[in-house]
Amino acid sequence: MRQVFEKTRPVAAALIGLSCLAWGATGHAETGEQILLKVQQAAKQNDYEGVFTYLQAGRAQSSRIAHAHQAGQHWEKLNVLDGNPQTVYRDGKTVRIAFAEERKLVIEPVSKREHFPSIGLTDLPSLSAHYEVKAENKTERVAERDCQTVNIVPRDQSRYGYRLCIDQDTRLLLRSETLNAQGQAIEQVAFAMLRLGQTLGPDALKPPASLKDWKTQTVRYAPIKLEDEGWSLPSVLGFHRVDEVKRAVGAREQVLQALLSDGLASVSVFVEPYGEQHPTQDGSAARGAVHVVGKRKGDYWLTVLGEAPLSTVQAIADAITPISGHTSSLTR
Amino acid sequence: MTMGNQAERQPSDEALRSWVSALVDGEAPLPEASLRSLGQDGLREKWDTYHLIGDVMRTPDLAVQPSASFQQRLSAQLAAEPALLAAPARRALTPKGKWMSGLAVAAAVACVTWVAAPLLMESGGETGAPGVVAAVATPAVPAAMDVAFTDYLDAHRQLSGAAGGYRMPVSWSDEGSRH
Repeated sequence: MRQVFEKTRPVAAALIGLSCLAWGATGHAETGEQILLKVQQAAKQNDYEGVFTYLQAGRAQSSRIAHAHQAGQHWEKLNVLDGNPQTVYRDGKTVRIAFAEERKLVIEPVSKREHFPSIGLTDLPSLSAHYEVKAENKTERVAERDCQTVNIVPRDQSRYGYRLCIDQDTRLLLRSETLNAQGQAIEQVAFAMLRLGQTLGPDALKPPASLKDWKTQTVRYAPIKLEDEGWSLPSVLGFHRVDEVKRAVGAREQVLQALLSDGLASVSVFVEPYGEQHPTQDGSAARGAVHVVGKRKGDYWLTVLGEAPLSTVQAIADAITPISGHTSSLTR
Repeated sequence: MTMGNQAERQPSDEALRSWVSALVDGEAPLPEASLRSLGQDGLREKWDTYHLIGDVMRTPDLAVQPSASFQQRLSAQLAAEPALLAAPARRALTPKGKWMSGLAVAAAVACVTWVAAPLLMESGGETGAPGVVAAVATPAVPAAMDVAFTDYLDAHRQLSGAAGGYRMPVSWSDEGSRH
């Protein structure tokens, strides 16, 4: 390398200059995992405004996002641009989703896990156990910005792979593709346009006072342990429990929900008493990378869904078993 | 039919020929007065020729049936009149038609999001993961089922943060066909 530089000094100087610019931004010494952590920080610690589009099962849904941070706090406003008008207001504690047509406001606790343009990492050891994160020496262009390709390659076929493109300057995630075993993108979310830096201040991103007149629905979860509720669920194919709650799901008032993660992808298990509203047959459904399996287990109905191949979702559904002799606290 | 003839042809002739071509393709109306014009200026012959061209295009087997003189005539026609095969009426419609159908699809999707999901699902197509999913199209449960899924998807999103997008329905296929 040195010899080459000596022979072509002017070119080398220019190259060094360029590489300093490039590497200074991308930091080639970082591991893929470190880059992913920076993506999470970048989603919080930047001010930005943009439009991103989900492509899922042949359907597109675009959202306009505005994000501001100030003194360690951050605010986000997201307008869903297709379909039923929804505006999502997020701060560090609460998510408020305003449904304009119904004049309804749904209030949720903010998730412990991240959403686009962040990455839903749960823990790095699990991530590394199930995926290889490869920062590629490749620059792409998304939403008029240069970004670096990062491949998250699954170590087995029980989970999907991901191909990310991460902004070279800010480390903001510009595009994420979910890849099946054949390497085909089955789902994608990407910015179509993005403006960084000084944007709308926090005040513009907070819910307007007029929402106070709207009917309100508050989502609450009570923490539980599945075993205490009479169910056992071991880790399956690297998916382990990261959250367990009792909650309402739509009109169903008492449903157990366990969230499983392999460090990156997540799958939810729902347990509720079997009723007339449930299908008479076990079944499955798909939408993009999300698979759903419904299954009757005695007097209960299990719904398992998440961003994983059907075989994985099915395996998780098959692993849920009632603890014999245990009386469930679930009521019909 | 030579290039010379083509150059000398009157615009009205060209328009009429386009109309005949469109007519053969079923893309132009068939008023009685126009039918009579088929008897004029040898247009009847063109009408037959275009029909044969259409038939050959639609049914490859027919290509071996016509006489040698027809083959010659067709070859000459193909060589001299590539534009005729492009079916002018359709050509004029295509760009706008595609765009419009794109809009229509977008509008339909927007409605579908809340009202109902397709009642049939071909999982391979839906997931883009052939080989992973083996579910086959089956008569599905009523649309109410999709709304229920929306609730589960929402609940999943609330805890996971992920589950891309908001409020898009999925449809159901039964277990029996999944083997």
